[in-house]
Amino acid sequence: MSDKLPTSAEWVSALMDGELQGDEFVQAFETLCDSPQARQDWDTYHLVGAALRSRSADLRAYDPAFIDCLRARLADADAAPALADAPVALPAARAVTVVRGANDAWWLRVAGVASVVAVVFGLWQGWHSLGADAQPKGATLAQRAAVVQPVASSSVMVSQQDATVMLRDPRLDALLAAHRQHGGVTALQMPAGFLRNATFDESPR
Amino acid sequence: MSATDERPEVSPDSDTLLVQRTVAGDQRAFELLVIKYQRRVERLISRMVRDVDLVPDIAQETFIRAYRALHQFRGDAQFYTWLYRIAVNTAKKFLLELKHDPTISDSALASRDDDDETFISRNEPSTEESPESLLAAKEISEVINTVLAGLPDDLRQAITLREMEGLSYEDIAAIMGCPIGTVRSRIFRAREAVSARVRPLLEHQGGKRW
Repeated sequence: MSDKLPTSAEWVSALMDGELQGDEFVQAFETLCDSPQARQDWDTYHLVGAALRSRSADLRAYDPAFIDCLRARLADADAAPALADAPVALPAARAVTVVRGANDAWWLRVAGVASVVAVVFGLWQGWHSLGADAQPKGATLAQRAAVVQPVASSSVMVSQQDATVMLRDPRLDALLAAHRQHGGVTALQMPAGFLRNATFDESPR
Repeated sequence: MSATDERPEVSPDSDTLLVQRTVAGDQRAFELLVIKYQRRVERLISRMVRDVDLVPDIAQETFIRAYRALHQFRGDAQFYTWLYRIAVNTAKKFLLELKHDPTISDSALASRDDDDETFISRNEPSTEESPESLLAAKEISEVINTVLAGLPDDLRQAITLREMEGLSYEDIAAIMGCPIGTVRSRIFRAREAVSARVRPLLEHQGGKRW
């Protein structure tokens, strides 16, 4: 049989095994693309191989509609913006880096916003402590973390542009006033011991 | 195998050749890759995204991204390894966008936030695998194994060495003591014998026809 001209199916079989090069590859490829039966064989032979290698292989015929849709989208994609924020480059180390980047980008943004908030808040508090009245505009990092707690009459303003968070609750002010004798009064009217740990009085962490 | 170790260089596999042809401008070559890997990509995505309706869209996006980036595929790794990373990142991106879309219900998202591959690699049945599809897959698998067991020894050995051991025709020829052309013929005949029994079953799968 090996002396006879191969059928299109045999071309497909050899092509999928990577055993055709040069002109043989081109001929088999053209046959495969021109013949619907050959494309079916291409799919079925791969399915058989997958079934032999794994019991959990997906044993479904390929969906021609999927190919048609993809073909149409590729035709429309020429004018679309580049999609190459996905890992596209090898070697493997670079690919891993891109995967990490996909995660770090989010956390970098979060960290960046948090840094801006901390700096602006520190500057704002410092300006107030120099000469402003000790108004209970209390927001510290701890309070902002507690902003999710249900406070009936509080007003919360969060602006990502100026990174300023203000939390004011009359009940909280009353609580602070009642316990002022224990912790001393600061411009932020918070327990001084805790506040110092959270403000910029301490050396930068 | 010693034959493998002595081989001076490895010819590019079919994936690499198809990638090269695609980069050269023949989109038909890319479609052959899509046919080959559509199932695996969709299966991978279905393990990350619970909503089965999203799987084809994400798979489409995966292949589009791969197509756009094919010129950067250098062949240092297997093509599917490269495609796998694109599929994972595309699915992650979809999930991230869905999380920020208040109109999307939580049921559309994966049940875990873990994005490591250990979760993906688990062989968990996805919602896409209905009892009918599982039964059909089992039936196809049984038919394949039955036909394989009934093949002549030379055909069964040839296709087993190729599909399960991943040996080249040259290595198989060395093992079986026959010309490479004979190996090619035997593997083809074995595949055709199995496929002839499988095709009717595939035609009756859930509305999918050729």
